[in-house]
Amino acid sequence: MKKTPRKLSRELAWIIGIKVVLLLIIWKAFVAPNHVHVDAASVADNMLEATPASQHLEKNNAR
Amino acid sequence: MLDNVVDLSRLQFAVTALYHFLFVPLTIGMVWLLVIMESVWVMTGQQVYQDMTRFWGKLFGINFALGVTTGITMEFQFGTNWAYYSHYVGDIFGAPLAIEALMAFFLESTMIGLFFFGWNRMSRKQHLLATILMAVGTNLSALWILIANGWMQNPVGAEFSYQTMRMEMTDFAAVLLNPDAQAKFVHTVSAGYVTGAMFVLSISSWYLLRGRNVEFARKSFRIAAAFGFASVCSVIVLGDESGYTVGEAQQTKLAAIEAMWHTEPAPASFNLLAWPNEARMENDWQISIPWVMGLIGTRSISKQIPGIHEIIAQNRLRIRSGMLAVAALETLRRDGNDLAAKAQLATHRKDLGFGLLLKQYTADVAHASQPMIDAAARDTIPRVAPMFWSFRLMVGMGMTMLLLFAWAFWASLKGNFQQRPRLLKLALCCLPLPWLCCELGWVVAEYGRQPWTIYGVLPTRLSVSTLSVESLYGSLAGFVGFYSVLLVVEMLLMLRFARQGPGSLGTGRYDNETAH
Repeated sequence: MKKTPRKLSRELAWIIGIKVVLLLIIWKAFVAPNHVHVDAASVADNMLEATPASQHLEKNNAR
Repeated sequence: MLDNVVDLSRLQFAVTALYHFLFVPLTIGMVWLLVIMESVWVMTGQQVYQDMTRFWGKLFGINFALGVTTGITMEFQFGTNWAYYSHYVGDIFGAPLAIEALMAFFLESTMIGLFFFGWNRMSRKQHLLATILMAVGTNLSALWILIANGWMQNPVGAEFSYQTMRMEMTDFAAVLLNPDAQAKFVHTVSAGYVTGAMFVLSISSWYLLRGRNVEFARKSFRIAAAFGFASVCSVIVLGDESGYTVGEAQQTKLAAIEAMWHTEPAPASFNLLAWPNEARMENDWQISIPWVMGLIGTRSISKQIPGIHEIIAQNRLRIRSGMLAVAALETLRRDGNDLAAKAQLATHRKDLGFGLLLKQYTADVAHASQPMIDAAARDTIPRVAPMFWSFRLMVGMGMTMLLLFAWAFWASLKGNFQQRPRLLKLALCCLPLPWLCCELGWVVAEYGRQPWTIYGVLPTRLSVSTLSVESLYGSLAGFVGFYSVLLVVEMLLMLRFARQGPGSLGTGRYDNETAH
């Protein structure tokens, strides 16, 4: 049976809606809980006060 | 511990990117073949061309449905694994990625919906328009991704701000028209066209070898041979352009690709084959062709291409300049009004990234020792042997495909390809080549950018999030497991429908009809 264009656009709207909901679920379930807060101060800390890898290793080994 | 986090984050991104790129080229290429097939149907009204569009479209749909989700995880990783990178370059990198996501979502996905569900519901011309827009949307998605990637290779139109500790866009047009991005875009989409053409050519050859659906396969073979021949010629010409832009913007990458340890008098010779010895920083042996590298890399006979030893010497000077930039930045973070520090940062800003390379050797960059500077300068060169061989394997396979498509195109002009089983068998055997070339191309582009995420601006080891090794191993295992399942499903579906052939359409016009 031939479907009308109106019905097709309704189906496509449903598909897009479902996709948005699925993306939101994936975001909420897997990404948002792992949020890493980064701002200018933390970037400055990371870049300018980072401990070199070799010292980092020594510290971890000493623990 | 930090080394592991960096390497694991890199490995995770590499795995997901390489896996995602198994699907992308086929999508980019197949979609234009569908446009060609459907256009012929609309113009001639011959039923077989609509059947071709629907059958190859079905394989395209399987590839798209399974592949599209794998790109999303890469965008998530920017936030989870590369948080410092995202902050540092988000102002520039975020814009094209956001446009790409919107374009993929609203244009590409909607048109794909119309393509699959719009048969018999739209007029022929309307449906063809939807297919064309689907192709345009797919290719425009690639454009925005490659503008973002091109900026990572050649960061133009942006400047570092010590107040916000990030790169800020100063010229959107420069980012958009970045020569690296443009060269990369046309080279990459052409490679996708070759992939699509090879896919159709190989499967059509298989039908012809088995004597199944002969008319359908002959017409598919012809379109794939012509489209593939034009595309493979484009890949080679545009690859040369891409190589030229690399020579302009990323001298370390070009020197590593060519295993060129010393600067030669212009025009430099091309190492056709060599055995790079990275410990000795020399080639154990090499077979060179005079002049060729100079002509390809500089398009002149008087410009020199710097060798690895000379680049390291230049980079030592840039690291020393970068040490002054880091010292000024440290002062400005304590006192934002220090005029002397502002002036010093302005003078040495372009070398800040080189100073930051020392962070892995000392916390006190401003007082780094000469051995530390030497080590950091050596780090600016990517591993030579993997680059050298990846590039040569890619080019070798590309040339093989050029010969194949030239033969296939010639035979299709003559109309005698059906009587050439060797050609058909070769076409079938060459099916994996475009994928291997695409993956190797990404290795050359991305591995060759190391030790930077943003070339000359942001070292990779300062880009990663502060995650635990355990969580990285966990998510890596999850990705590998999930993607392996997707790959198996894709292969099984592809094999099933390719085996059934156009009979899977259930029209009653082909061999191996399935019940409907």
